[in-house]
Amino acid sequence: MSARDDSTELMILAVDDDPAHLQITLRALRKLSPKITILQATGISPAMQAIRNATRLDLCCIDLNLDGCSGLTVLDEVRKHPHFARIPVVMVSTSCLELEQAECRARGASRFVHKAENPRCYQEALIAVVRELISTKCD
Amino acid sequence: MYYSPLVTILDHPRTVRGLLAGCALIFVAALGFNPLSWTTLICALILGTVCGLYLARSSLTKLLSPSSPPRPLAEMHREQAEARTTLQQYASLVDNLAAAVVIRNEAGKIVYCSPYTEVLTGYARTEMESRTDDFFLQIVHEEDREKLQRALQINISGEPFQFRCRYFHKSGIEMWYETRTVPVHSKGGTFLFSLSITIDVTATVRSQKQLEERNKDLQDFTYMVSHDLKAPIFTLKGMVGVIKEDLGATLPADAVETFQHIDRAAQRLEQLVGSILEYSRVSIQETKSEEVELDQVLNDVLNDFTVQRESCKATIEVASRLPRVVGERIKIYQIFSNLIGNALKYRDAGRPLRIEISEKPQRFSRVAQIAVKDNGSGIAPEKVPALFRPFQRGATHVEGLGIGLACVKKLADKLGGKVEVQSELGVGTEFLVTLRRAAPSLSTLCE
Repeated sequence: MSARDDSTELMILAVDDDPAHLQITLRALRKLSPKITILQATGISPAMQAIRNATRLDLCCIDLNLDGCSGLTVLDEVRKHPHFARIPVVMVSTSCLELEQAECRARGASRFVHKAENPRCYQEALIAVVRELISTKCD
Repeated sequence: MYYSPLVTILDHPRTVRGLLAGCALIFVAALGFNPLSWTTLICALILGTVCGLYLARSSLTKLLSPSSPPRPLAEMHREQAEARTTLQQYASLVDNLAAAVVIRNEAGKIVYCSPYTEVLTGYARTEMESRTDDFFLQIVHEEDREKLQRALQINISGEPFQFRCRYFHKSGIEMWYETRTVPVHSKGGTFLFSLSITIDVTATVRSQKQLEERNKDLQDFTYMVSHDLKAPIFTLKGMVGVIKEDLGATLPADAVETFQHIDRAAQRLEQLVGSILEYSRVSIQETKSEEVELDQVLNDVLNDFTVQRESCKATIEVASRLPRVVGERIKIYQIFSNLIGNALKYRDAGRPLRIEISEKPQRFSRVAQIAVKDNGSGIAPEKVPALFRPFQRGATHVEGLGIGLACVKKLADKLGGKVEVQSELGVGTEFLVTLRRAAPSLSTLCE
């Protein structure tokens, strides 16, 4: 299969309980392609609902801490889904503890991106990771 | 009074038989000549005595030998009195020891408990000594029962055994005791009895648990700081970035400057949060104990500062032979890295920076003191007392947060050492780092 070009639609689910962080993430994802569709969820329950109702999902970007609960719950839901179990999932967090990153990998996350000191660096890192994951999925 | 050799001779059965036999023979022989003659009788007695002495010659030899002189009775009495005094002293020691002494016989039965056993357990000694099973198995915590049973097998294993257990005092309070049990054998190797000495370590264990809880609280706090404080800082900086991106071209100059202030404040806040995290990590981390070559550590630190040294043309001299110390290598590295980094940062712009690192002779050989001396800008005397507190700065003309020296002090404390400072404004500063000295190696002793 050839790599996707910019004309192909992408359906991405972005989950973050902080509206400002969600906006920073969305601005980064929109730079990937003008024909990208982003589903937004501001908590665990809306995220679960979005996954169950979606007819198509190409990638998920999930914050590790959602309203004091673990975003890994949403990751588990994606990995159990009959159609979306193998899609790339990127976990993001302001915390960069090695233990947390290891747990994300163990539960099936494809990548971990740190919401680094500079939001611009976070956005650039997120874009690079998503591009790599999407092109790998297509190959 | 000496025992008379004559009494000893006559006590010897062989001597008496010899005498009698000798006399009888001579008497019978004399009968043949003149049975009633006094001369005959005297001769019989003399010859009989000679025969007896001959038969008892081995006993006589022992008596007269210089290697076994007879012992005076007074000396024996004195030795017995000394033995009684020693026994009284040991009995007094055991009775007054703030530790429970328990003796078990070869069958494992408790035959003796010292008075302090009653204090530790709340039970009477008679109660402990009268049981057929081991009393302590009745009061030990269920989870520690196996440890105690292993100790009670001491007469089989023949090895000393030390362990810590929970017991229930008669009052119901859970206590922690540390016990050392040793087997006692005769000279021939036969097991005689086992001796257990137990002390109360409840206060120590409870302090340790409190310390663990405080560390856990600190870890939770660190995690909270790591995430919950960083999140709004990320928002601040992110939103400023969004505004600049969307409206940057249309913003008036004063609005741009305002957002720059917000950006700088967010940066500063982020650095402060990072410093708090770094300081609390130093507090939480466990410290390993190993022997560290200071020469190698300083070499690594200087290598890591190569670029900064060359850019400011600093000279750093390290003494030819620094001591080996006891501590954790990474923490010792952090101490000297902070100090040398500070010296480079707070140098005097008017002269080339010179840093000297050497060992200061110490009165006590158990510690080593290393001096890091520079000719930098120095520290004002009013700032010195609070220099090692977090967020205190010796000088403000250079960017910094004031957490480095607080970390140095915390690290030195954790290594069982300390750090001190002497400084003169405009002249320079000397930091004195005291660490535990490692025992000399065999090669050093042979030099």
